[in-house]
Amino acid sequence: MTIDPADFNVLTNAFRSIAAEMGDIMLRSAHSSIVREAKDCSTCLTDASGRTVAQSEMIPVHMNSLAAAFDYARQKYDITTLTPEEAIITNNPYENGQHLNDIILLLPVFHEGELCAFTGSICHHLEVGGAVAGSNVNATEIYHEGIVLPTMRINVERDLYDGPVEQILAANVRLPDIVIGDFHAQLSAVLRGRTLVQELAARHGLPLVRECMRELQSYSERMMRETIAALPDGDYYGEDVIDGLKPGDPPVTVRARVHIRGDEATVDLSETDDQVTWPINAPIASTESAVLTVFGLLLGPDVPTNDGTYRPIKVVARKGSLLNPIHPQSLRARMTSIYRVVTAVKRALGGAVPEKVAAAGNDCANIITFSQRGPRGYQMFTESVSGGYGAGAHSDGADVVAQSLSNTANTPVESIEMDHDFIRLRSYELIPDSGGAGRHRGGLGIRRVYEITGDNVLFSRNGDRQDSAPWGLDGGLEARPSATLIRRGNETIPVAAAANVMVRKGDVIVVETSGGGGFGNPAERDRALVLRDLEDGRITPEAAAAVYGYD
Amino acid sequence: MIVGIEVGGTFTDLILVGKDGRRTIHKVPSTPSDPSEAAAAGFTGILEKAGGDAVGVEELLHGSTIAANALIQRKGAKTALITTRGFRDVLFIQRADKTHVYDMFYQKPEPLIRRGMAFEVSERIAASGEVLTPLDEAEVASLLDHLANRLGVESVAVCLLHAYANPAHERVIADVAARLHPDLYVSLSSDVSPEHREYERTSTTVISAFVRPTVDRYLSRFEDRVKTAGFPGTPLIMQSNGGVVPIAKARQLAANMFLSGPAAAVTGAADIARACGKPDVISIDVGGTSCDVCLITGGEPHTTVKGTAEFSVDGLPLNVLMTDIATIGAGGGSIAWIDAGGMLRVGPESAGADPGPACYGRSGEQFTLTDAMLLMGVLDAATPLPGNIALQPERSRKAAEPIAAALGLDAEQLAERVYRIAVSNMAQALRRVSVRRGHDPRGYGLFPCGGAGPLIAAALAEEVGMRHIVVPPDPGIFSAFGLAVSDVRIDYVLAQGAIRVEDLEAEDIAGRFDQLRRQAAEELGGLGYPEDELVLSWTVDARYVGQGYELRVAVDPDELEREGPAHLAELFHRQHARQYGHSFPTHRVELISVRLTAAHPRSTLPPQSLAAGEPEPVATRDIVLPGGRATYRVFRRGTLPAGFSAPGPIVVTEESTSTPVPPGWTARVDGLGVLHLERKA
Repeated sequence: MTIDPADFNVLTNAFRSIAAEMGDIMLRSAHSSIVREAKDCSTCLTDASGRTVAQSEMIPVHMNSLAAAFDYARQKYDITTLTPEEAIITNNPYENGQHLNDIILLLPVFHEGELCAFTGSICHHLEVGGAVAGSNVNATEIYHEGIVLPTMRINVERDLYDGPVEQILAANVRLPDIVIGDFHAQLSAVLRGRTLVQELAARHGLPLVRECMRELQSYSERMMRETIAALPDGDYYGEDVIDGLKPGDPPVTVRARVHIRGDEATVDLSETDDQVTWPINAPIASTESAVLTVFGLLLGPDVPTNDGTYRPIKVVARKGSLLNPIHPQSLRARMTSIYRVVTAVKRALGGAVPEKVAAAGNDCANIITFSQRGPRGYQMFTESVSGGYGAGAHSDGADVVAQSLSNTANTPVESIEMDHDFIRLRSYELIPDSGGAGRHRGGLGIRRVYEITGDNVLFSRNGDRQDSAPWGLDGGLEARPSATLIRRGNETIPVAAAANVMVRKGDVIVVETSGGGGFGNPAERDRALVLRDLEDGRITPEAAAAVYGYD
Repeated sequence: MIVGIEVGGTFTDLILVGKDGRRTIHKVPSTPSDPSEAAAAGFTGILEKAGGDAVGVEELLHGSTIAANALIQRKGAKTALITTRGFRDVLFIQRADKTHVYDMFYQKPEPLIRRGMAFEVSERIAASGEVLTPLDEAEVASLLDHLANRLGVESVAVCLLHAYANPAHERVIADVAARLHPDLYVSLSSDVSPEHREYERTSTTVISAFVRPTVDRYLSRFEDRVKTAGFPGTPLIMQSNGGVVPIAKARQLAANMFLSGPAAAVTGAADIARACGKPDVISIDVGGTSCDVCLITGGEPHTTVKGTAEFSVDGLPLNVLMTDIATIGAGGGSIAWIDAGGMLRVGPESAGADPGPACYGRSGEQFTLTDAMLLMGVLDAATPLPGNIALQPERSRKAAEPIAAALGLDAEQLAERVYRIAVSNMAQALRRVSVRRGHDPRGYGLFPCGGAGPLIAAALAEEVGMRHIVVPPDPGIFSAFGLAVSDVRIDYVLAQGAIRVEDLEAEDIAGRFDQLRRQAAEELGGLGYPEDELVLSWTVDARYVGQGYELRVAVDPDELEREGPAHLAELFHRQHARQYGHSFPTHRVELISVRLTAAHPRSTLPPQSLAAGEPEPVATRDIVLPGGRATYRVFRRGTLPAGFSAPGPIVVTEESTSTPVPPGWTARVDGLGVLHLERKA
């Protein structure tokens, strides 16, 4: 069947709109700040086999992984026997999920009795039970990390809407109203998506819808193949390190070999260190997603990403390694490792084509959680604190911005203080000289200072880059690393990148994020830009003189 | 007599409505270096054309893009920002999310001021409004001295944390400035945008401070010029909320002047929608590079909702109540192209008016939507476009060649596809705009305006599944008409932090309503609009505890007094269910803010007189639309009497545009001269 060019454009637009509309619904009706402000959720439309056609552009790590859940579902069930009343639910990292906080919901769509598509959503839930509220650096097994929902075929009306699945979920989490609220936002999204696909099929006929889904995947595949073909053939190596468990511990290393052959790429991560005892291990679906994100970044913003995008790329990760751990190893803080997958792969490519790759950014999740168990139940505040972007061949890196795998906004200081009475912000500011120097300067990191104004508050931190720094590219310098410390009276207590600490009323917690790496030789930086940075306090006079040779 | 003057980028449009309802229309080229020049010239011109005298003009309404231009061109005042100590970087950090995720070299929107122009004062207020650290007046004075004397700052934005809950410290800064530096423009966040979320509030305040001196000077020039031309009264100035305010008030509300023409057009659409009995319409104002879409429900245009793109200007959040207009990058000049993956695309690149579509015969050589419409017969090759542009179909055909050849099509086949894609782009955007606001567009009529609106109306309605189209008289200069029907209107908001509805006492809520009512009565009373003539509409912003986006819920203070404040929760659950398909009746609801819109309504314009007799088609024309080719009978709109009705295919032409009525649709003219297109179920 040859597709009319207008039909192809119109239906492509419709697919993308459906995914976007599902995303809108989810964001706007969600309960928790992590969804509404941090946009930590995604939606997708797939074909009848569960291959992605279109996704809402929210969180790359989610976007590229939703369909992976299908691979497992297909192994477990014959998905062609699903009925219109059913759906698939999972949060199991060992079944191609992400981490337990990410609940995946996949809804089959039928048109005139025929399975024609799935609508899917994934959402990071604020709390999913486990040993402590927030991320738990002491977890060594997945059982410590919360409730596991295995890949299940469920009946939507019977099992959700206060049915058994929903009740079990609500009974195992500390903030059931918020979790169930967000879960229903997910449900609204996939239900709306289903209606929209059905309307589309009724309007254009299923054969044309199918054909356009296939063609859109081929289109994205062609675009990705062209992107890879533009890279020189060769074998490239890059590595990067993760902070050890305690300050001074040896780092954990991620190693990437990137093989470019014509219009295909293989990324072999097998030489990465073995899995570790704390929860930074990454399930395979997350590892793959991180690699795909780098290639998505090479592709650029305008191209829809879907199943076709991923076809020319192969990812290899050794079972038992940090990037493909063995059950039941803990893995809630997987973002830490997969950010190093991103930076290791970027570093490998940066050696080959520096003009197409930015220097390392802060590239950490930097999750900060404060929780308090009081007479009225749990109160909890979580946010992801961003650092600087890496500089590129044509521009400085952006100051403090959501990093490559995510797109989380900060939470307004006024919202935090309006909603929670146990923390207050002392300051929120850019750190001068924190961006790596270069012909183009890395973006600046920030210092965010919290004051504890209640008792019995647990502070948990899930970050990285305190013992290593984001690297520069093509002669650019590395950025200033991240840091965390607690000021208690006259005492200053350093905190590891991943830690749980009980804090007291009056404690002041200082979180600093790294900037991004620089690009090119700092001596070659345009003097007008050095002066501008100096006037705006982005660099200090000392750095201007010492690093840029400016007087 | 009423005169409306709308300044656009290329033309300044004017309308004059006489006491007998007779309308005169006038168009003069804009004068971008000082737009008031064209405005005044046009004012004199239209009076001459209508045979009127400036002394007889009772009301003069004016809309201008001066504020938006100053911002987009970054040509505002030398502006400084004052913040709470520790928080001067809020403006530069922004919200830290990205508009595109797959961009390795992502850049943030550029703030209006540089970091070196942001300053801090020691002070701190808590979310409750309690003062944690007092403000030091001496510190403020010395900072202001530094700004005014050393840095030559002309305008100051002040945004302190939680100032929406307690504006005292901001007021002290304004008082000190007024005492020591009376020439300094000072904009306080607690005046400009008294709502929580510090980045959005800071951004709004800085935008206001940045454009205020420019707006102020412009309005002075405008007032002087129309006074010199003989106008005896006080001009009324269009605001982004679709209302007008007296010129003196407009000087203080610089942040409320960003939407002018588009907001006026929506106000006009709402007026006609109400008058002709179709109160639920979606207006689409299609120009050369983009189109503006707005939902009108129950005769009232929607206003901006937090968290949408319409909430910002040039990437910078602007949190004042605005007509909720979504702009889509699709218009007559949208260019057709084939992308790297082989897909035929239309826009968002546009040929605009210059170089223009290929058929304009200027330097444009790319195939645009306008070229497509010409080859399809939607545009008549024999009728020049406004501005006396003669159309050249052979140039369109030539421009089509490379793309058509690559797809194995001929020029006419390509044209049809380009039209379909452009209409589909608009339809998807229109759908998304409606659904985001909780409405199904199929329950609405389509209200096309702008030169190209009627040309695509039927195809767009079919694509979205709408069955009714309302085409106003003179759709080509519709913004000027909108000015002539705008009410005087001011919006008020009271936000004092989150309060759980179950903790609300009856007197709390009544006290809030009273506070806003008094504020409105006092201010509008002072401007000459007595309280008993005001129309008040009330809404509250509320959310489930923990939710971050508020929903706007219409309320009636009397009903709440009767039912008790807990009734608010009930109204909220209903609104949530309507908007998102579900609600949580057991979850707690909190109130974030109370809003009042106070309007002084304008008397309805007298109706125009319409033609009488049986109209005859003046010609026939072959037109290809997505439904197929047909021979359309051509009627001149001016010859159509009230009660005229005819089935498609016909095309109704007028000076500024034409409206094809395809087979399956019926055209009808009502008593107001409004053209309705209806499609049978």
